Formats: sequence, C-alpha cells, structure tokens
Amino acid sequence: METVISLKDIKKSYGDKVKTEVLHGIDLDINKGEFCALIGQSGSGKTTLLNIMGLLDKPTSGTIALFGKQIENTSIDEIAAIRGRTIGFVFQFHHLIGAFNALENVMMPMMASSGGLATKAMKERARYLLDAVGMSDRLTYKPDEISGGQRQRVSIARALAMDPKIILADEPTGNLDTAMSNEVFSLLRKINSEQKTSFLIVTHDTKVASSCDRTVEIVDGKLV
Amino acid sequence: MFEIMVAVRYLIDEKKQTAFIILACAVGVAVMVFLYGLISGLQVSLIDRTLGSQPHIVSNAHKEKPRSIVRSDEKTTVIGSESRGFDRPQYILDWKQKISSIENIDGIVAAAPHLRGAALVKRGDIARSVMMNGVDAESFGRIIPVKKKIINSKIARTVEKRTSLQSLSWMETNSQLLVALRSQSSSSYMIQFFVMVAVALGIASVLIVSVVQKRREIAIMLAFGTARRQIVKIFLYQGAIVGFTGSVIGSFMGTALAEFFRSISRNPDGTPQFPIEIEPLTYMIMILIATLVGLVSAAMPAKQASKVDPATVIH
Repeated sequence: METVISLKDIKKSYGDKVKTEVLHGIDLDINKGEFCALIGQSGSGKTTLLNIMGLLDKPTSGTIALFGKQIENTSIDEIAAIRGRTIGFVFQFHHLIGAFNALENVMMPMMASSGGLATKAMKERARYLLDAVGMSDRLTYKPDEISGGQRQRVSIARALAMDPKIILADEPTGNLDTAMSNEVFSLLRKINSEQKTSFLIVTHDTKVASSCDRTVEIVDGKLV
Repeated sequence: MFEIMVAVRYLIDEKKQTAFIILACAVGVAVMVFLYGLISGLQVSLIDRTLGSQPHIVSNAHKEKPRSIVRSDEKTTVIGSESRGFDRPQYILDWKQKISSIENIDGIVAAAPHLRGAALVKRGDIARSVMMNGVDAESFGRIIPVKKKIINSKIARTVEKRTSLQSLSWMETNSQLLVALRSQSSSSYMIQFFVMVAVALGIASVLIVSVVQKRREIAIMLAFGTARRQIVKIFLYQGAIVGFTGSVIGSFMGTALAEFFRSISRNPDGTPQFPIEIEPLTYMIMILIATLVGLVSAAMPAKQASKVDPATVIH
C-alpha cells in the first residue's frame, strides 16, 4: 500500500519561556485511498496535528514525508506549491473568498498555481467539480448568496481543484444540520471511492467516525 | 496576472473603502496639478512680462576706466581708489562684425544693434534731458518674438569671449526676480511633497485595515498553495491601482479647478490674468508619481499580509 503522508515522532510545543508540549511524538501514516477519522477532545492537539500534516505549521521535532519524500529542507514557497498540488483542505467554516463567485472560488487554486488568469480548461474542471458536488446551478453565486451546506460543497469542490492526493477536513460537517451533514459526508465518501483520494477527517461526531474505514484517536497529544 | 486580478476584485468588492481612498488620492493629485498649473502659469507670465521686448543678452562696450597719472612703484605708493567710469559714450565701431560673430554662436536666434545715450531736448527756453534709444527696426523686430527659448548665462559668457564685449544675460540682470520665483517653486514642491505624504498615509492605513479584514482569506489562499510573494503582489497592486486611478481622476479635477480659478481671476478687460498651462507630460509625471506612491504605501500592508500564519488564523 502506497503511503501518502508519513509522520514520524512529531512533537510540537508552543511558547518561548514556558514550553507547552501539545504533541508528544506522533507516528501516523495515511495510505492511498484511505478514509480515516481523527477524533479527540478539544484541546487534545487535533488541530495542531492537522496543521502539521497540511504543512501549514512546522513541528518542533520529527519528520514529515510526502510519498516517501522528506520535506524538511524545502523553502516556504516550494512548500506552498507542494501543498497546493497534493493537499486539499475543507474547514468547519467554509472559508470561501467573498469577492469571488462559486466557479471562481473553485478556480482560485488553479489560477494561483499557474500565476495567470482562468483558462478554458480551468473553467471546465471547475464546472465538472461543482457539478459533482451538486452545485452546477449556483456557479455564479457568491458565498453570501448560498446556504451553509452549499458553501461547504463549494469548498469541497475547491479542495478537489488541484486533484489532491489527500484531503484534510477539519469538522467539515460541524457547522451543518443533520440532513445537510449526511449529504456532505456521503459526498466525501463518493469522492473517496471514485477518485481514490485519501481523507483525514477531524470530527467529534461518533456517527461520522464510525462510518470511516479507520479511526485514530488522539488523547493529550498522543495517539491511542 | 493572477495577482492583478485578485487585487482588482478586492478593490471592487470593498466599494466604499476603495471609493474613499481613490477620492483621497484624487484630491491630493488635484491639488498638485492645480498648484503646478497655477505656479508655472504665473511664472511664465511674469517672465514673459519681464522679458517683454527685452533681449535675453545685452552686450555693452566696456566702460572706460580712468587711469591714474601716478603709478605705484618701489618708491611711491598711491593711496586711493579709482573713481567709477565717466559716463562717456563708448562706441562699438566694428558692430557689424560683432553682430555676425554673435549670430554664429550656438543658441543665438537673433541679434540686433542698439544705440543708447543721453540727449537734450530743447524748445524755446526749456531744455529736458532724455534717453535716446536707437534700434535697427528690421533686426530688432526679430528679437521681440523670441520668448519661448530662454537663453542662459552660459551663452552670455560665450558672447563675451567672442566679442570682448561686456555681456549680461537677462537672468543676471533679473537675478532677484529669479530667486523669488525659485523659492516660490520650491515652496510649491514642498506643499506637493507633503500632500503626497498625506495621500500615502491614507492609502497605507486603508490597506492595513483591509489586510486585517482579510486575514482569513489570505490564510486560505496560502493554504491552497498561493505563494507568499503572490500575496505581497496582490496588496502592492492594490496600492498602485489606487494611486493610478486616483491620479487620473485627480488630473481632471485639478484641471477643472485651474480652469475655474482662471475664469474668476480676470483683468478688467475680461482677459485672463495669466495662463494656466499644464502640459501632457506634467499629467503623465503626476500619474507616475502617484502610482509609485501607491505602490510604496502598500509595502507595509503587503508585508503584513505575507506574514499571516494560516495555522493560527484558519481554525
């Protein structure tokens, strides 16, 4: 089985004078096509772990490898580019960009990566993704013109824009009602089975966790 | 292009903020354009009036120096000073040659002889002393329209060297006026400089607020792979676009203001007191300066934006 992300003995502490260690040596491998839940109490270090896996934050010690390649000695802009190509993010709050409509929001990662304006191919891909998340009739709507569930679906489409190998989702359904939450969850599952995209979903919803392939629990900065 | 596109969309999205800051920039540039037009118009008209029908360089025969009869030598020391020259008329006998050699000097457009001296006018018992001016109507007529190209003191020195006549340019004879004009110009530059500083501070503060408002969006852009230098560019472009747009609008406003000012300050006969002339190049320079000012004032906000830490902002 191919490993997408591999964490070895990841430690993270905050503070200059009084050091508070949040993660105490985490080892975690996420394999290709895996649909994994990360559960834990608030304050257990879930978000810190997710940030480190998403290359948004640096560990104090330990190593991270993407497809077996260590990323320690990579420049910040290169890391941004790698992140853009391999990792997709879905957050509890949609985090769409208010000035852009749904189609443009999905195209943003593609445009940022190319450094240019939207091409026909980008438009086609964004349309295809929005169609896949059931938003094809809201292409020109801005984030404040659609519902919370719809926004979340647009941000899932955006997370898929660069055809990432793994999607890190932080409470993707935490802000939605049950019906909407089920809908979004089954959308993630569908993407997982169709595209073989790996998922790591942070959740405290036991129902969500139980319908994942694998559950990882973090307690006080350690995996159990 | 991606960065420009995001910059433009951000500015459009923040309609009110953008309108205010562009207006502030426009007012600043309008003041600059107006001030520049007013002062340069005023100065040109003053110089025109001063020069009027005057030549730009006047060359005179050297004044005759009185020579002392006794000279200092080893035995004798003469104490005293030479008196100023007699007002005895001096003549330039070879004036035709001199004029043609002056006309050959680079930068000389026209040269004409001028005869000047004191005379007495007598009628019956009454005598009056008058100043006589004699010119050669044809060649002097060529001097009068020469206004545009202002001849400087360097040419006067050349004339002096070639003709051995004492030559003074109009700049030397009117040096006080020029000093006054120059200090007027420099005070207007000072005002323009501080206006631009105020505009820069305005643009910077609005963009700083915008960076704070957009921290989450900046963080998410970083998360989906936007490089930090791209984020920097997005904000730099916003500053430049504000400076450019504001200065284009400001140029129109300044011109309108200058026209209005000209229309209310008229001579009794209805003609404008002085022209307000703003050349296309001036507008271009103003727009360039304002755009650069916008770019520079966006530097701090842009740096701040690039320092957003996605890990702490997003969750």
